[in-house]
Amino acid sequence: MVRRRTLDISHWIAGGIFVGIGLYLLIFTNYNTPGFGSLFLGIFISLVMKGGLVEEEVSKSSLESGVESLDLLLDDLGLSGNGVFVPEGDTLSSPRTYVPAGSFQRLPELYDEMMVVSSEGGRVGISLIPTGKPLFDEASSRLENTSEGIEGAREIMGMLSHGMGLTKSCSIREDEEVISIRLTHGVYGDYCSKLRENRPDICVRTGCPICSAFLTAACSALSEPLLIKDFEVRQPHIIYRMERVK
Amino acid sequence: MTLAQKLAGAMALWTIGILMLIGTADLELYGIFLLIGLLIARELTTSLSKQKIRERMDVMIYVGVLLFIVVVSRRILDILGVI
Repeated sequence: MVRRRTLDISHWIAGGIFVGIGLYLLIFTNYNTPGFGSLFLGIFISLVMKGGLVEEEVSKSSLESGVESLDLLLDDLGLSGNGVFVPEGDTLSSPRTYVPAGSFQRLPELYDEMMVVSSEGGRVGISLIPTGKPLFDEASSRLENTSEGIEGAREIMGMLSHGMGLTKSCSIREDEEVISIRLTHGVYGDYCSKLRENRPDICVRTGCPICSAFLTAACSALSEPLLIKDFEVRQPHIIYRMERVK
Repeated sequence: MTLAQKLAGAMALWTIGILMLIGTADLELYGIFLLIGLLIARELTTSLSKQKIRERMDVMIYVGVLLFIVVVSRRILDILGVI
């Protein structure tokens, strides 16, 4: 959650005020119904709004750390291809982002212990844990149970967007072989723009942690590798077009 | 605005709205309406809220259901003429 203070006791204060008013009305007056309502609201606010909060700038900075240097490293290694988001499977215990050198030809066999992957014709690529995997894991753990396929993707993406507040809204659409994912910027809009300004290729390679979490959610729910076909910024939206990898 | 804040705002509106609608006369009816609001909020936010928030709401629902049982029992005893 993005907030201005490290320790937020506002929920206790707001809840306490309502509880106080409620108790006063119940004990010292005959307004029992409003008193009960106020007491109920006070308890509800105290319980539901409770939670640890982090400063907004700290939250954004922690999302930035590591991502730029990773992109710089990929640049230096000449890994300039568009990323492929690979779900967990027989040989992988967790989702991966595969970034090939040059244009993507074919997805090699990926294994947990292998990071640098060589495929046919001496083509090299790198298999990374998606930068947004912790966010994806958090969203998955918050859901009681999830469906599979496009509906499952919508559920996890809904949690990432509305439940965790990473974007204002999101949508996923399946059109034959192309899967379009549209994200509408929310509180992290300026973080996204700044990162894209510094590292323009990051969006099609590994994605920032936020986009990566959404793309990992899509590939995991659909249980198939998805290649970033193209990426478009149409303020305040960003649109990813993903292609199924055979 | 976070989900918890939206939830608190919605419950505040519900609490005040119901109070304005049924007035201050019937506390039992008011309590039942609050429980209904809580159940609706719990159901609508199931797929979006954190496990901890759901658990806390569940505790409130259990208390509400207990109170509801007490209210219904009192009404039944009242109709039977026991009290």
